[in-house]
Amino acid sequence: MTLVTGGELIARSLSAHGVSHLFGLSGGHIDPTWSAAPRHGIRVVDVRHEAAAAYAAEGWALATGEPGVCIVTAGPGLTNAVTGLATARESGTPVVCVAGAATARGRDAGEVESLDQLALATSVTKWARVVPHADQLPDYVAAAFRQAATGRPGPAYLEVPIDVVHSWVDDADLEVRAPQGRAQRRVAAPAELIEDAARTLERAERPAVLAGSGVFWSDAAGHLETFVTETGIPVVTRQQGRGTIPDDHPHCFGRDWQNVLAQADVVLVVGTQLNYFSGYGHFGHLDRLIQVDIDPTQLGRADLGIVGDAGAVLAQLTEAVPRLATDGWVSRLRRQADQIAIRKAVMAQSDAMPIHPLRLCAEISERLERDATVITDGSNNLMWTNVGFQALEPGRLPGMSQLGTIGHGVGYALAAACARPGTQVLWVVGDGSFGFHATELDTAARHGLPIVTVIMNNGGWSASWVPLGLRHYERMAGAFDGHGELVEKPEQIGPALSSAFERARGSGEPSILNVIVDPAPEYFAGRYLGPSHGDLGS
Amino acid sequence: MDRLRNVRDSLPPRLNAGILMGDGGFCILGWMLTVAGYHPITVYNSTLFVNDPDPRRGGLVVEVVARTYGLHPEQVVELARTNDESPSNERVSAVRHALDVLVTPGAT
Repeated sequence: MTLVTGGELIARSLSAHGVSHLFGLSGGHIDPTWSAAPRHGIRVVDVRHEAAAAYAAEGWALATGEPGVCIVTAGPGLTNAVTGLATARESGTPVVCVAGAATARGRDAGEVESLDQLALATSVTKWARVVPHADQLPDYVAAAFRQAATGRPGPAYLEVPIDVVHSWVDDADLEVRAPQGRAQRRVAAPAELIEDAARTLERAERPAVLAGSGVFWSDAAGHLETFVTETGIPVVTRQQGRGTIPDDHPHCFGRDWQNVLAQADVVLVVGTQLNYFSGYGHFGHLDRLIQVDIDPTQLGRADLGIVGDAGAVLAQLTEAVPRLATDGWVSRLRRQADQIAIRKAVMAQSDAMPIHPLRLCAEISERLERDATVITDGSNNLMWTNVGFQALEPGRLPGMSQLGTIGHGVGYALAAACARPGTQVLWVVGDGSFGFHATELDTAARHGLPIVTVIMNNGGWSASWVPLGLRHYERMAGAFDGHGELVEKPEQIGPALSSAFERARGSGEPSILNVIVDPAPEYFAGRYLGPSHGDLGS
Repeated sequence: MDRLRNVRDSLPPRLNAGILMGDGGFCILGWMLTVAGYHPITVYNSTLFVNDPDPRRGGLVVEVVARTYGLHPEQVVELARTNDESPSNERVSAVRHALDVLVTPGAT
């Protein structure tokens, strides 16, 4: 008879599901899993606050397309992680969270770190369970991965009480099942709906595609590019859809969804919610809205709703839709995009001080390799980073989630640096958001994760102007054995970035560049460059 | 007309270009929506859309402003152009002048 602990079974099950990194913060309620993980080839990345563990798990999923895993201890360990789990739920990111917990017997007796965790987790996750017995752990871990990754992805929560994780069971008859891959989850659409969508697109004068996170989670970047290239339909991208078709593809208009969709007469929405971040689907001049989603509950606002996997349906549509006469429509959009680009370029070359945010983005972009990961974090600064950076590959430009969380970016950056060693990883963050989890740069230093942090420091919370003052955040780098620089002049940006990237490649040390930017810069006016309003038929 | 006069008489000291609300404040369309009772999140960080879940309140900003103030969409476009294409230090006075014209009887 071979006896193993519940923690050993969790680690073994995680390893069977391909988990190579576990993000967490230690605690007595999770010790057996924590200590067992390295024996199963799992690298434990210990962070300084559980929120960062949850963000890093989400970041791992965004970097790899597969569920990220975090482990947190009981009570405050979970409550600290709640924002990260809620963020993953609202953005539909596959995460598995393993949490310690007090014993069932001790809950009402005043046991330490006792809390109704399940009720809390249920409200912020897709699926939440308490594991009753250790011998059920392999099945529960497998169920958590299925729940996280199938249908609309999301966080799955697995609560393992301290008496369960520490208990001993005979593992002779315990089977750890291998997971299904993404290719096995593809659900195609009925032929008659594909036919309806194809004929609608064929009749359209100004068709457009809005591609979102579903394309990323379906690993369908190739399907999207083939569909767009072969049909000639222009495409814009949102959320994790950014980069599933490169911004420099001739039919891709990047994140300029507002301008494109405002003029389109038929929009094919693939794998994204029609929510605040996509104008609730009120695109203005539509004859018909077609929506493809793996989750049927998302289809209420579409004229034609198609339930199916983004990749599978795009492959079906590629077969069904002929090459369309879109050259004039695409040329018109390109002319508009070019005019906007000219206006942006003026600001990107600004020598003003404080530095214009678009000048900073331009200087960064010049020094990025194509496989770099740029994590944009903040609220107001996103209006610059969203237009200042190009998304050239899937999962390389993660930004704000549907929940509107800020300060999460360092967790994403830790995970990206783990998942993509040897590549550039930048955390571009506002000074307000930097304050949430700046201590995680200690995690980066301890684990040799060479993150380059660029603070767009405008000295305050700018969405509702509340000053913070211009702090010397670059000095924090010294505490973490990293490199810090204050950048006040535009001509200092380039050398500071080059130095930071060289250090990242060489000694692997993280850097903090504290860049003082204009708190009230001019935006580029480009919203009425299109056809006159009357041309759109209103 | 009274609403337009309200806008003209309550212009903020600074107007931003090309975005409804941001760290540079509102552009004229964002300000008009705010005066009309739209909350900031519906017009935040956007150039073309009013993000309101109610289709009667949300949609293209030009159309929402036109509907709300009884203007023709082309008049709204012109107002936005005046805002966007004026130098920042002259923007408020240029927009005030454009509003003066709009509130003149017979202009709308």
